[in-house]
Amino acid sequence: MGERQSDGGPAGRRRVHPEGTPPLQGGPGPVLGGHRVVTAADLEKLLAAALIRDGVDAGAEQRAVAAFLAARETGALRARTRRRDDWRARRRRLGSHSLRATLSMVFAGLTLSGVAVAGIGVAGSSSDGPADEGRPTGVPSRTTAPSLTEPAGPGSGSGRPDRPGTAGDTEAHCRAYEKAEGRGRALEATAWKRLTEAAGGAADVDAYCAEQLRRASAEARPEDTRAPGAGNNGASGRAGNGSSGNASDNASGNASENASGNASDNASGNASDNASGNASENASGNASDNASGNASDNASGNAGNGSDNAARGADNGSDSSDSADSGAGDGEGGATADPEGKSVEPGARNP
Amino acid sequence: MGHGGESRRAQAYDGELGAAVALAQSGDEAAFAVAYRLVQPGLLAYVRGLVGDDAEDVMSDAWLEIARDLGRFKGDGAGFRGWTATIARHRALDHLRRQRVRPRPSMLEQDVLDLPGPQNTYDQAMEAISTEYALELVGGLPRDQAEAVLLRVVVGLDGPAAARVLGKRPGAVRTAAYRGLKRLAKQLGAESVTDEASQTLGESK
Repeated sequence: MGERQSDGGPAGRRRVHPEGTPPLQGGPGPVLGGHRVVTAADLEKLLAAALIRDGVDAGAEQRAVAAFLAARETGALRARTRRRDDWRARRRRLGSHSLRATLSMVFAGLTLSGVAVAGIGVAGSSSDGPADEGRPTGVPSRTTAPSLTEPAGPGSGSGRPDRPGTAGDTEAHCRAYEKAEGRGRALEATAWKRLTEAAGGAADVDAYCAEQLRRASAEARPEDTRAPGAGNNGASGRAGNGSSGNASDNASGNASENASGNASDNASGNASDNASGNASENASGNASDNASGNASDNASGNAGNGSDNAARGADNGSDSSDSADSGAGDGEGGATADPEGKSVEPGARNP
Repeated sequence: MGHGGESRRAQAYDGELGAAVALAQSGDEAAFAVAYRLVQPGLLAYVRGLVGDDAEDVMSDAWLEIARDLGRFKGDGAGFRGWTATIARHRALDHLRRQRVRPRPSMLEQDVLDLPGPQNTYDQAMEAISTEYALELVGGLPRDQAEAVLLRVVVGLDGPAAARVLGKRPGAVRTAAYRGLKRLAKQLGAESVTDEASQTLGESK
């Protein structure tokens, strides 16, 4: 019964069962509800039996032994072990991570995924494993620059140099500015610089920011109920508002929001918006707008157009084609010295 | 480790293999011959899955290299299987590059062979299949799956060792092996593959 299949060529299935031998352990697999189920083990045995020919070719063996003897004579047996030759157990293998690398990666992953715990109090944190791996304090500040390391205060968070200078920072800067004003603290130099650039002058920053924030509020999601222009509270936690929430959220210590919301928002919305220079709009509508396809609106360049922006703001929420057309020439007005210039929108204008 | 089939069998001999390799490394040619006989069948089957009928030639080349570099090797019997599989694989890939053919076994025409087709019953298929049929099935898999299955089934490597041979992550190799086996089972007429008692597929040692 065992030889019904074709004779498998020369010296094929030696391990195949002769007459009278039960096929596999316990016979074919169980039938469950009409389905044949085979265990992996059975299948593997079957394949092994079919593929492996017992015994070796004598001539081939002789040649191999001859090669061995030749190598022995030349002293090859004393050759040094290269990395690829080291197959000892528990050696540090290629591709597997050392403890250090593994923990560093885990730590980086945690920070990026918004586990704020890692960031809060990071300065002194040496209780966790990762801390042993070198510079835990350095990691979060590098990888999640604006979000987790906010020791100084509202102003300092907004202009972190290691963060790509997304134009969307401008609104964040504005928030910090407003907050700073309220508290009598000076804005960080970088943030201030950006604001003055965007606003066209130190004296204009006030008006510029007011406008930015007002527009931002107008375009904000329905659930954002803050009054337009009123010292917008980054602290209120605009979870999804991309870069707009960054700096202020940073300042307020909403580390988790920043880490989680910003990563995607920045990637999605700000890139395209930066290209067009839509400072404020980048920040405001990106999270949802980009997803819905209104990124083209942003890219159309509705920046710096004072009164127009308010109207466009409404447009952005609903309509994608109009602003794209109308804003065609407005890109230059963005005035945000954004070096990124990245655009993911085919129709976006790259400065 | 709980592997099924050949891997268990291979591992059963690992102690003997490790001892033979150690002796060979100190110059004992009889021990070398023992090591050869223990690993050659599995390697040959693996290589055949890659290059088909040229497997013997490829393995001859591989053994030249294995013999030459034997002194460099460090490890036990299982490690030796992984090390030799790596060498064999390199030779096989070199061979394929020279020939500029895709890594499929060169099979005879289907109608020449009395190959069991899908119309055969499940019982028949699971009982035994011919070498040609097995090679054809394995050769029909995507190469990453074919290699993962072969290294596991005929060379008897565990997950991490197979991953090292293939230069991939263990998870990817595990997945590839599982998918390959699943596909083979379907082609043999089984509806599905289960891990059941052997736990082989879920294992990740």
